Amino acid sequence: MWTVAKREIGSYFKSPIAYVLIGLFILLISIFFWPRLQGSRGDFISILGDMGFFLIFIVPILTMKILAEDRKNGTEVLLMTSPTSLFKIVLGKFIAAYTVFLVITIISLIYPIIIVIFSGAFTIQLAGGYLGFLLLGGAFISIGVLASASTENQIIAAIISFVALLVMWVADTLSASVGGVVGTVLTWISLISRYQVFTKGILGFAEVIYLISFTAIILFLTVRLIERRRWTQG
Amino acid sequence: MTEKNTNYDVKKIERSRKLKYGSNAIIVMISSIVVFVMINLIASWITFEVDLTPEGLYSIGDQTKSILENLTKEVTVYGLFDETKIADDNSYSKIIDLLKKYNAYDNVKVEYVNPNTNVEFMNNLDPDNVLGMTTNNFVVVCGDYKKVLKYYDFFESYASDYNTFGVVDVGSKAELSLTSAINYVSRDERTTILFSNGHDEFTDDYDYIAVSEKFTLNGFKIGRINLYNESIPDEADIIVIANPTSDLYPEEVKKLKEFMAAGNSVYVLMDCMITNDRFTNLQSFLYDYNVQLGYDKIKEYDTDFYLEGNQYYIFPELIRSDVNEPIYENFTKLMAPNARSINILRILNNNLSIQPLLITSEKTKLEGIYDDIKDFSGAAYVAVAVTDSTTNAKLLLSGTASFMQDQILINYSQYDAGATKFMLNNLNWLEGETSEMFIEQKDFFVNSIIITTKQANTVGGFLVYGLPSLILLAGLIVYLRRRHL
Repeated sequence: MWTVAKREIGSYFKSPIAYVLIGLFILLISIFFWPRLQGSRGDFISILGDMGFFLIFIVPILTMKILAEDRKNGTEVLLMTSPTSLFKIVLGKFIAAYTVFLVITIISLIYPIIIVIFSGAFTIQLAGGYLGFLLLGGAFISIGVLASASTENQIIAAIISFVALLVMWVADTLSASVGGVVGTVLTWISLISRYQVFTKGILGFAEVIYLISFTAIILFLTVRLIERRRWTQG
Repeated sequence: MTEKNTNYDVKKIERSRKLKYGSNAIIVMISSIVVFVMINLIASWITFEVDLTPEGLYSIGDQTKSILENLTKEVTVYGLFDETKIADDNSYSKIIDLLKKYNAYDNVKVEYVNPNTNVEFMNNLDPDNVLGMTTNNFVVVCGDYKKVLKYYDFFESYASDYNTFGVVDVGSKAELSLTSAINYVSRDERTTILFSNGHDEFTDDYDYIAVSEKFTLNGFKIGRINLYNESIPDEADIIVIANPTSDLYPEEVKKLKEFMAAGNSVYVLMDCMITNDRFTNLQSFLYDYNVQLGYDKIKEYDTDFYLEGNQYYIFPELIRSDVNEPIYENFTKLMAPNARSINILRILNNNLSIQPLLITSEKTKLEGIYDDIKDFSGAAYVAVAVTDSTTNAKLLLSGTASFMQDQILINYSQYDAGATKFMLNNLNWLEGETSEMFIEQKDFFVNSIIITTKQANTVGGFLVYGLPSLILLAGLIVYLRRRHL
């Protein structure tokens, strides 16, 4: 698993893709952060909320090649016949994408550090928000991994995961306008509404479990999808 | 033939294998989703949450916990909206989250009812339509007692932009309001209001019928007293003297003074009345509190401050003060017909604290009602509140009584909301309801930083231009180095 992860991490940082994604993400946060600096406001928690939205655009590009590329190059067969279990391979690839995401998250800590330097506070609410962001990132990346496993075309994989994440986002927005049972269900399934619980200052057991179990189930389904292909396609 | 059969068998096996693994995959997929849902349903039953906000927005304090633990009656908090339609960034979502803490107690139930789709429920809750409930209000109910809580009861706000009517919430009063309301509707001892009669005053059975119903629904106990031939009962907390047509007797004033000396409250409401009686006894009682009724009738000349076609039906402005604070924001108009001014005397008395509550416009004319009283032009107070720190007695003097009169409320129902809000707030202040609660307002945490414009632009510029460029440059270097590999 770690061998796969290391190899994938290497491939991310040996190509410009990781740098472009990190640079873009940091640029977006900075654009939102600058006016706050000018207004002497250190409320980074609201930007952290927006960062969840930025992930919708970043994650599909980050994950599009992770399994689709193997399938296109024909190396998927090698992976499936290797002594490492399929689950460990998928997990290794997930860890690789997640590592890039972790690098983004760590770099984003520069903003709270700047706030603290200029006499602001790093609140426990912000720490909770970051925990939520890490969990949301995991869930988003798992969707990207599943999308990448479903096709050999990287662009299609990126589009699938983008649409899936967008649906997740719209589900949250839609839930407030639909209301009733449908609204409750939409809120319940929405990753964003779970994440917003963290950013508004609540560390909820149910939210932590949901985001972790969501990631786990999607990765599990990814493994099943590849296994099913192995058996049905021969 | 044999080869053909073999091919057929292989295809058959392949088909059955595809079918087998295809079906298995679907079964596994469905099972795993079921397990996922089950895990999360169980997790949602475990209501373990940690409030991480610096203000403790989603936590309840010890006093609230004590009140909720000791509740002996069932209290229901109705949110009059569809809670599933409240987005996470909506202010009400904070109240919904806070109410989950209340709901965890045995005798507190929280329900959400959409008033637009549950008209019958709304009619049953307030059959006479006296609570003034609207969508997005909360109603706290215990038996026959009900208390309505509105947006301004939950949030401390200020107008950020007078042109766009933008309002910014700067703090939460949600816990204070909810706990006060629960305590209020569920308590056994109720504040007793006695309407004085014997001088043709407005009372709960004459001209103040509607307002008395509102008092009852807000948890007050209502009664009447003839101060001349009855002694004031011990349970009386507030005496309301509303528009007497003749002066009080000295014996009545004496009783009132004794009542106030015991730390109770009196609410005097007087319209301008063209009569020869100057109410000298009543004025002598008011004199002890440094206030007097003006012998005048207020006539407004500022078109924004009077009812079109009647300059004596004025719209005095609410003055921001401790008394008015709970209703100051979002206050609608209050119409005061035939009002008189209230004078604050300049007699030094450190024990008295006087807060003006209502004021007219600068273009007001006070028309003297007696020959020896000259007309006066300029702003005048229409209501004041006085506190005596030695006895804790409170006096509220209003130069208008008709603003809550039944006939006025019927004919000018559009001003009912403002009048009711003002009147109930006055009674809450007289009663000292909120002072019983020591739950502090939770001011929203503002993470201010100390930074000069130059520093902000330097740091911001680096973050927008410098840092992303550095990262992209690193990517470019990697690309250039590895492009031939």
